[in-house]
Amino acid sequence: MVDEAARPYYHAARMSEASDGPPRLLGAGTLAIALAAVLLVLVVLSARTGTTGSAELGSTLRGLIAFLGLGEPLERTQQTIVENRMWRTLVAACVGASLAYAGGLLQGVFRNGLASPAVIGVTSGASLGASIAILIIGGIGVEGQLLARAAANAPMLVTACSLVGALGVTLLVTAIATIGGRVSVPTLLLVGVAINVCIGGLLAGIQAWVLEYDWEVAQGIFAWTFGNLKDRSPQHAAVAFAGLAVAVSALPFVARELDLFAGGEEDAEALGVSTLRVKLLALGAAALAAACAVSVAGQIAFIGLVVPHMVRIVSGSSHRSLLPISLLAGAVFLLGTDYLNRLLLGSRALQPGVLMSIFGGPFFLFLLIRGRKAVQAW
Amino acid sequence: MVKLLEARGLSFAYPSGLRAVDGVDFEADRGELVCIAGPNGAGKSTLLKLLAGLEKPSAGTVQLEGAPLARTRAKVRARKIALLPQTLTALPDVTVKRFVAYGRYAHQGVFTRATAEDGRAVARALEQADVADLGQRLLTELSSGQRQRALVARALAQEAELLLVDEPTNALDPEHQIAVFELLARLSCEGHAAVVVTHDLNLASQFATRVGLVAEGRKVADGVPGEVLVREVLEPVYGSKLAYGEMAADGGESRSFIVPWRG
Repeated sequence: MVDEAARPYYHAARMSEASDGPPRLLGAGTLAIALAAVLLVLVVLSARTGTTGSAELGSTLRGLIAFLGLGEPLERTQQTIVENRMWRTLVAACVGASLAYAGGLLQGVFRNGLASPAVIGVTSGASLGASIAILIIGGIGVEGQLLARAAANAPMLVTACSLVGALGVTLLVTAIATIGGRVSVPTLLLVGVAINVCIGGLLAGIQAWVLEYDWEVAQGIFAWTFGNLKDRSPQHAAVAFAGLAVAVSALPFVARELDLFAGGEEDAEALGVSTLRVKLLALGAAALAAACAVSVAGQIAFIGLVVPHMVRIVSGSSHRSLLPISLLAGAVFLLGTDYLNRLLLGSRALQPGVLMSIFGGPFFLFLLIRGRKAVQAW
Repeated sequence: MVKLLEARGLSFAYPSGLRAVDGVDFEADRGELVCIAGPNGAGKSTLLKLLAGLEKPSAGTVQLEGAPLARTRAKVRARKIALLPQTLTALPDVTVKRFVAYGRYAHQGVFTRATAEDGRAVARALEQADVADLGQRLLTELSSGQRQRALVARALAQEAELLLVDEPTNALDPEHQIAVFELLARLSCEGHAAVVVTHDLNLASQFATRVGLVAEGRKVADGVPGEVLVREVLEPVYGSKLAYGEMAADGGESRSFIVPWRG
């Protein structure tokens, strides 16, 4: 019950979600609905288009309905083609969503728009894990084991090893940055840089050594570092989706809190935020989402950095809208570029990591140039 | 009766070994406006953070209504204690109203949205801190004095009994300096407790019910303004470059005033 005298305030409180923020290009709700609609369209388009051409829309839709278990499947080969494209589509959407969500979380924790999953060692850890897996699969030291054969049999080994690597390195970085039960954010950043340099050296060493030893294995390692969305299996989609789902469950416990982090951790603590819990939850969720994403699709740069930025520009910096919208926008971004890539370049489609760097690099520069002007302190 | 806030033997040392606060006893209760004064580097702000539970003392305890503050949950603590920092760093696109509404965090659950009571508290706080007309403005567009008042409003929205305030008048013109202290005095009359770190001995003289003087991490005096803000007490702490006088105040009593004077 709301008593009559309180009504004007009650109304004001109900309206506050919409009216407290500064004017925006697009409201968060409108943007979310628009992105969800674009995502749905992209899913259908992506299921229709492969590297060798596009299928009929009608048969694609029937294939999709069958894929969901709601109708009769198409002729066997065609149904398999639609389903294979769907696994690729689901992996691309989940990976894009995970990386953007992780980036949004980390930028909130670090209170720095230039943070991304790479900062806490997720990417370098995953690379190390994947490289070791590819070395094993490539049969370093075992005669006659070819990468192509082993990779076809054990893609999940690469995924498992890179997941362990990503989470392991992130844990190491966080553990080193924890002093007396407190996670120091600036220390985390520096430790992340240091560990990334160490692992980068290690990886370069492995690559240089393997290049001399076995060209095919070296090629496998190099290919992984540019990301891969080809031949993704239901298991890959399951890993990416599971990581994302667990990470998203942290959202209600960190979104409002990260808004309060903007004034500094101490200020947030004084307002009643349990800052250690929020940092651990946000870091854990970001690490898990990004680790699962990178482990199934390889390194795909810039989504974690760029997508939250674009969302912030369009719909504001409140994490209650930023995080869920980044999720949708990340899915649209990666799936959209992957679709256009296949549509326009066909069998010569570029790897997603290469594509993201080509688009992401200039955008990153744009952010830096824009940031120079926009620095504000009070 | 249990005091609202009671600290005993409070010490804090930095990792370098520097003791910022050294064995301080301090208390504040409902109805009081306690000013903490002292030279730069005396440990005032550190003491305030210890009292707010934001720093862990290396020795001593802080009790909030008889319960150890160190073991109080962050949200429970924030419903009892509001801290007004001197300044805040780099806040992005946040309007004054949203900023003030942040003060309601400790009153809200994980899955609940802003309630009618939250709306009322925010409206009241905006009004009391004289920023109601700035509600839709961005924080980055405000003057430093207006930001200071926005900070006051956010602390008021927190509706905590104890207000810990770090130099609230630094950026304010004389009119708003008086307004902030009048507001704090009124709140303490209404049953709040306010602890204010300030360099302004004259505002302390006019508004404080008690003044604590801190030097080199220790409390060197604690009493009513008439006892503490006098040459014999202040000169050992601040040196001799102060001039002392008296001015008539309400009710026929007089209050001391102190101005920096090159002598």
